[in-house]
Amino acid sequence: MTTSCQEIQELLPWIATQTASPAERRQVFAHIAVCATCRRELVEVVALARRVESATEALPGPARAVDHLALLEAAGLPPLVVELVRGARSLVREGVPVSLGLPWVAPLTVHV
Amino acid sequence: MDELYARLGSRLSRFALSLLGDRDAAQDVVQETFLAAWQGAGSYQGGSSVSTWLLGICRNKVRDQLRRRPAAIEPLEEARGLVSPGSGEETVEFWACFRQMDANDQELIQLVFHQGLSLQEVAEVLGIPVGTVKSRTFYARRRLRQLLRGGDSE
Repeated sequence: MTTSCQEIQELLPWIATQTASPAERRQVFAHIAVCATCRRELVEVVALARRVESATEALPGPARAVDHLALLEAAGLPPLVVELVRGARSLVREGVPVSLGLPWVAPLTVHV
Repeated sequence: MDELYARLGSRLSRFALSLLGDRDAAQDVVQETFLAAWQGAGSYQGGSSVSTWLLGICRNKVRDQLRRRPAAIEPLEEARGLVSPGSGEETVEFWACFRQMDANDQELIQLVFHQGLSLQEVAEVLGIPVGTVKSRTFYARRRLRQLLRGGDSE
């Protein structure tokens, strides 16, 4: 059974990004060995992939770090704990353990 | 969570920014994605990679933002505001063309060519069959190529 050019060209993006399965690679390479049209199309798709990649890398990355206190609140930690952490942040240096004064709670290491 | 953010924050940020064209909205989406991941960690079943799972959450947050936002400004003007300072005209031109595409097509192009997801992973993130991913991606990349060549119709 021959594979149509349309079927092969639909797989080319994953060949270009090297995420195609071994079976997909075998299917595509067997076809483009004998099809100049699809070989040219692969070159076009690789060029497009590179352009998308470089243009997206030109976008600025994240401007701010994740808000850890918002995460704690969202996780449902008691408000008292969240407030203690908020207060501790203003007092401690990076990585220094902070005791909450609660015997059953191990000292927290706050990353500010 | 710190390690996850360090590893994937940039990737998700660029994904959101490419689809929203607005830095503040993209930052909100990334924040919401990690919050949702933290809250829904129990629902992660390990069937897909963590990055694919997060992309699925991020994609839904982007869609929520798009529904809430007013119509985009002129594509070229938006593209100039989008890219890092010092980016070349070719990059600006790329984004001006990209932003003219339908939101579904933009999403596919990003997932396939920048996020580097496999066919199966794209199908999983979008919740559509593999065959549909292949044919939609085929037409999306043809559309992008046409826009980059200066064409406006099929």
